[in-house]
Amino acid sequence: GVVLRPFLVMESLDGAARTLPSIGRLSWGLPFGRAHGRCGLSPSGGLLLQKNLDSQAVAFLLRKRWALYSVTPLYKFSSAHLKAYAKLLSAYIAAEKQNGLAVEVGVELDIKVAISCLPDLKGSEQDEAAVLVQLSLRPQASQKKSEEKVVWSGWFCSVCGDDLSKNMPADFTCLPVFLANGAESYTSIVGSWFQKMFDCCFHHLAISPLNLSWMAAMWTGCKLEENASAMELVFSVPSLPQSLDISYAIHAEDAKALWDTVQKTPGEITQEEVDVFMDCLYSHFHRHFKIHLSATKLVKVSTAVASAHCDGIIKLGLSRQYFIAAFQRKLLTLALGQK
Amino acid sequence: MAVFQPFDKLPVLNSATLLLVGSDRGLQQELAKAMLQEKKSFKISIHLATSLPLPSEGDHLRPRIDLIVFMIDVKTKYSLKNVEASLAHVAASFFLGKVCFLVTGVGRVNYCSVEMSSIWKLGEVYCSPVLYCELELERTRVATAQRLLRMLQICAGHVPGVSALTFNFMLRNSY
Amino acid sequence: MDKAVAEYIQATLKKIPRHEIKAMLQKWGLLSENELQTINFGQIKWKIIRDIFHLCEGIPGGIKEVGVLDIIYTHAYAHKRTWKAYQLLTTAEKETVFFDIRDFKKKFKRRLRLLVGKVIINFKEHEDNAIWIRIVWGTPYGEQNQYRVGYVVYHSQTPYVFISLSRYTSNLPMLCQALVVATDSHDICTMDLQGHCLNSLKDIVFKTSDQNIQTSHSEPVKDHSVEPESDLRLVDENRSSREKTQRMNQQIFGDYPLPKLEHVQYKLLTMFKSNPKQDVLYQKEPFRCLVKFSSPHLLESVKSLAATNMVDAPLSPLLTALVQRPRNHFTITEKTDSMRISESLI
Repeated sequence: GVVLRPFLVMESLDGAARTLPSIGRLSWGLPFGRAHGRCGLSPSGGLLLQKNLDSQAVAFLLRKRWALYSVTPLYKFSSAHLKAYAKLLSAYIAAEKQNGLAVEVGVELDIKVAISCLPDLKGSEQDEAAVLVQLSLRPQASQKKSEEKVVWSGWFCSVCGDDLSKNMPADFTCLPVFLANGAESYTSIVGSWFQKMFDCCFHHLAISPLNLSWMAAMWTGCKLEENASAMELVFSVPSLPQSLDISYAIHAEDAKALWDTVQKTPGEITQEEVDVFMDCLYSHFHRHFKIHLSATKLVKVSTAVASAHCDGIIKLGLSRQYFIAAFQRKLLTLALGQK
Repeated sequence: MAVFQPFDKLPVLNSATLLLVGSDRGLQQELAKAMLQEKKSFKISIHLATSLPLPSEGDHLRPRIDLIVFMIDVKTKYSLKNVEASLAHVAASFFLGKVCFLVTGVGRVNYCSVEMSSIWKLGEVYCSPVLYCELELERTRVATAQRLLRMLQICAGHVPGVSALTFNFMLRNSY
Repeated sequence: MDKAVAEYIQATLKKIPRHEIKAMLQKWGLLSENELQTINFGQIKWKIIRDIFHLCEGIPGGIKEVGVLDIIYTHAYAHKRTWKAYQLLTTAEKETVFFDIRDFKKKFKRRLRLLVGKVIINFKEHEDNAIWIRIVWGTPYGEQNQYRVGYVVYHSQTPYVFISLSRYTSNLPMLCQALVVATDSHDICTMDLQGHCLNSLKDIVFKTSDQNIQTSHSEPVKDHSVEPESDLRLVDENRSSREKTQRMNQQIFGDYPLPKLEHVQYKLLTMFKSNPKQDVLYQKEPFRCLVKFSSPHLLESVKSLAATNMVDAPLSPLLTALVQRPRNHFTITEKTDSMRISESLI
């Protein structure tokens, strides 16, 4: 199979307003232009090296809603100093709390910071191992020693592949995707600490309808379990005086049957195949309602395997088996669409 | 199936007609208003249509169309499909400089529903320039309006020494 | 009045906006005009409630009286609850008998108490021939919990009943039975119509089958369809087809404000028909889908959607069915060339 090759493209602004504040941003994506958008996964590719997979490592990822951010490379970050970083971050949070910055109730209590490495979660051998940051409530002195409750988790992961790692300048660590679960106030505190410490930038990653369609097709193609939940697409028509939301849910087996006839090579997905799949669904809808769904905005995609919202929120499915399939492809797509 | 021909009608003295084809009527009207507000030395008429072919009842009243602008909104796939279907109704000779594609919505990358490569392919296949603008911003709207007016002048033959085809050639080679 | 009752009055009063408390107390009638004069309705709310609480403590009266205040509040704020429409079915031979409200109340109370045990029932008749019934359910331990309340609105001249049960729906079958017995009907069935706007549900249900939906106190919607052609240099090539579509839509949607519905669900059990150019799915079984439309005012948003390019004219029969016979659920099955729309009874 063909291995995806992301590379850097400098895009210049031409006066139009952009959603990102940075000027001359880097874009990671497929080469534009002539390529037909054929991309696939080589057998050794993908996020997880299955042989070392520890179910505990995976468990914390499931059943949670993760907000996505793209991160520029970190300067002088070392996985050998994680304990030290945890101490510094802890002190920073305490200082922020004193300044009255955080308003959440939970921040009143003592926060314990743990930063660890997840060596099993990486795209390829050359990638950096994922880095997990967890904030938990330190038990009160008066309470008996009980288990610490994790109130916030965030993790960096890398899915750059060989090319990018080779091109990365020394002193820079490439961990381009950050996922956060928990209160927004914690996310901004942790994010600003990392930005100050490692001179990087966090950008909220939104997911375009184009990428959502891709995910819908990919996840629909995954092997189904018994009683898998329906494949749901949610569209929004905001331009009307009274907003309208349309939810279009297709029985999981029927959606998979349709995708299986569209997909030509197992393990590979092309943009054309995604387009045909979506067109089929749109025209089935049009036959009944005479509404052109392609003129509305696709805001959410939900399958048994995983779900994603255009605001950059993803939720991974319940089964460990699905997780492996979904996650590697999902992050690959992010690297595609990441701006 | 009626096909649009570029030279099947006689031109009118000192006037030019532009046809905007696109699925978003609101955007079309905004762009048209911006163009009408500009100072110009000739009489202008702007026709708005959602798709081609045009309703036949207006055929005999319609003046000669000097420039067709196909509007594509990257936020909706429907606008692209609409334009692709309409292109079939335009005679090949129109594509010698009298057609251009106007792409809107590129400022908001997170709303993108259309692959940019398919739009570039369209421009290549139909040998016509692809312009980008963000019509929601007044500055770019005015700039685009001025640009289109200039193109319209050339396509209508008001600029001596520059034909639509020459201009098209210059535009495309500058990309 | 015992403390628990007075506390419940407090809870009810808390829901009422400050500027309406006086009017509702007057409607309630339990406190005399003199007593109401002693309260300063200009002070902050919790002080008003405290003063009323003190006044009520001295008045003899039971929990039933408070129920009436609750009905008054709910009648004014019906949109805070979800209402479901039901239809009472009678045998064809039954003549229109003079409706005896006392008989109705007696039969209803007796049957409901037989089925459910101890309940508190309040009745109140309102101006539009509507009988409002408030029911306080008991818990398994026998005590009535004032917060487990259900409402029934019955228009005695019609076979229609609107029920709002919030979370405690396990009592629904018994409630239905009591209604059937009290009205001498032989059955009751759901109309598969629900929403927050009680008046809209009534409008949908009471309209005659041929007319367009009209609300009783409404004026025709202003016609915004004709835009003055301000600039002659701007020519709309599609003007005539747009006007034709507008006329067609106006026949479907009508001139009057549309009733408020919040969501509709279509269960599609039709076959997948692929474009012959695309080599895709051929299946003998239906392509099972569930489509939900939701909006703060669904019918209005469908109407404005129909005026855009996103919808092809003429309007699809599925949407026309929604506008002309509003329901919350539709099931669509295949019928040779066309589709069969049925309102599913859930």
